[in-house]
Amino acid sequence: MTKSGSCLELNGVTKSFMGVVAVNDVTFQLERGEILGLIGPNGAGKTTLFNVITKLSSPDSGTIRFQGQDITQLRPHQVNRLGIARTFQNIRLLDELSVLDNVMTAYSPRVKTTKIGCILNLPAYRTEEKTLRERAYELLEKGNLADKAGIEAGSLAYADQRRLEIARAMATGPELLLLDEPTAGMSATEAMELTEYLADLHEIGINLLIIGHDMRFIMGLCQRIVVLNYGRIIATGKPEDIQGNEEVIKAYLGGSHHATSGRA
Amino acid sequence: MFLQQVVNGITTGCIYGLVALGYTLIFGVIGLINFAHGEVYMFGAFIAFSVLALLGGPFSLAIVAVIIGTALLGCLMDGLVYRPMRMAPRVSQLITAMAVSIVLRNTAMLAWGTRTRAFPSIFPLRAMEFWGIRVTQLQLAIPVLTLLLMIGLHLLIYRTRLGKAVRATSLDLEMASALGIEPNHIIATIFALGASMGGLAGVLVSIFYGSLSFDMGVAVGLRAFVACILGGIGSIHGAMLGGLIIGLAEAMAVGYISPGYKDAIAFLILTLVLIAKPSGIFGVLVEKGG
Repeated sequence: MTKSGSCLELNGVTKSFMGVVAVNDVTFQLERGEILGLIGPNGAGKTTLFNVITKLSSPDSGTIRFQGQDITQLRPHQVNRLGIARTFQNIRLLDELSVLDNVMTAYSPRVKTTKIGCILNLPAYRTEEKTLRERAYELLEKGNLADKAGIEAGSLAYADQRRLEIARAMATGPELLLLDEPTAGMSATEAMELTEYLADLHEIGINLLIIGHDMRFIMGLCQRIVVLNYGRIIATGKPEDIQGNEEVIKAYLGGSHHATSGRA
Repeated sequence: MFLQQVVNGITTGCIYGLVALGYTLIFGVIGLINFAHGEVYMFGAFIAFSVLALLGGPFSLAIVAVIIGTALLGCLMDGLVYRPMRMAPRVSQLITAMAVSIVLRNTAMLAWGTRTRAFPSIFPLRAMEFWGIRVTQLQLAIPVLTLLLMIGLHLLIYRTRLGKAVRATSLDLEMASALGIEPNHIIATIFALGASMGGLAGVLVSIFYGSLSFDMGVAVGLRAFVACILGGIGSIHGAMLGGLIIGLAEAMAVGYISPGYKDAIAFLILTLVLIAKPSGIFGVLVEKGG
């Protein structure tokens, strides 16, 4: 049964690295307007699954559909242009570029003026650049980063870097945002502020798929949760159901001896 | 004598620097040493020669033809040969680059012959004397043109949107593609830019020496490559500085030791750099890929 109403739909997605099955026959949907959490012990295959969805790595089998369209064969930039943006677990900003330029970089593939116009510094290019700069400032304001626009991204505080990565992802105009451990390294207060920021994004119609280790954050924000262990889905359901699920508790408490393997 | 050699050194150094830019730009983005880049420089010279001597066209047309022709050559090289090899091991890519170099050199040999050809003298190369140093107008023009090209490239890379996309791709190709940047477009652009700079350098040299030949790219290509290593491969400013240092060192060797040692100098410098500071002056060498 295919639900054409789903925002994101994975069907039997499998990915292995040199014999190690990192993602094993994963099937789930993210409905429109949903905030879906993706949890699981270390090495469960969560980041690998993100890489497969954004096509930074290709699945061995299975299909991925976004807004009803099969994106399994697309390349990373095409997936992004269709409306899927992401952040990275280990924060991948352009450290030497300013905060503003990091956001501006994300605009560069979706503009009208040509490379030649850019090389020759034509008026059309300059006007467009000005509009984009204003839009970038708006995004930075929403992420509480506007006052830091001019400084190097690499010198930002950790929490600010995480928020900048989200602001940059938003500049690509996504409908679905994949966040890989957005609260990692944040204080409780910072995590709470981030929850509000993400709730605001959800409010304006962004669908969210979030990997998280911070259970309070995930349980508080997500409407539904998918639990991965050894690459397989072991539970799906509302936060309260997941919290009491025997198998989930067992995976978290008893599965740590394999914790070092399989992370991509 | 010293000042004369400085002037000569700066002239050739600028040429090496321009060619080195092509190596460094491409390495910065895809981690490939494009050994065929010296051949692009040679093609630039022959395109200008063909337009001027064989078709009798004006100089401006020749320059436009060189820029477009070498840019296309760069794109073709990337699209037809390097792109399919992108995921191949580093050694295979290097060997491929050497093969491209041989193919291009032989193509030029078949097209324009093995003889050294005389480049049409378009400008009367009058030499001027300042305090006993002979300087031709072209020797003044080459550094000025090089400087202008350098400033243009710097502005392009550090100030424009295209430049930001190039830097993003070169710093983290995966991340850039997750932002919607098509890496292959950026790489093709870089090949085109690097190639046209190399092509223009070829024309300048041909005018300067009044001659050109199918194998002229070999020696310059190697020196420019050494200039890159010296400056720190991947660094734009390093490439230019490296070029100037090699040019000056060669001129000094010619003037003070013997012209016979000209070829040895670049390799002596390469050896010293690799022993003392393998990452070069601006040491931006980072582990690519992974």
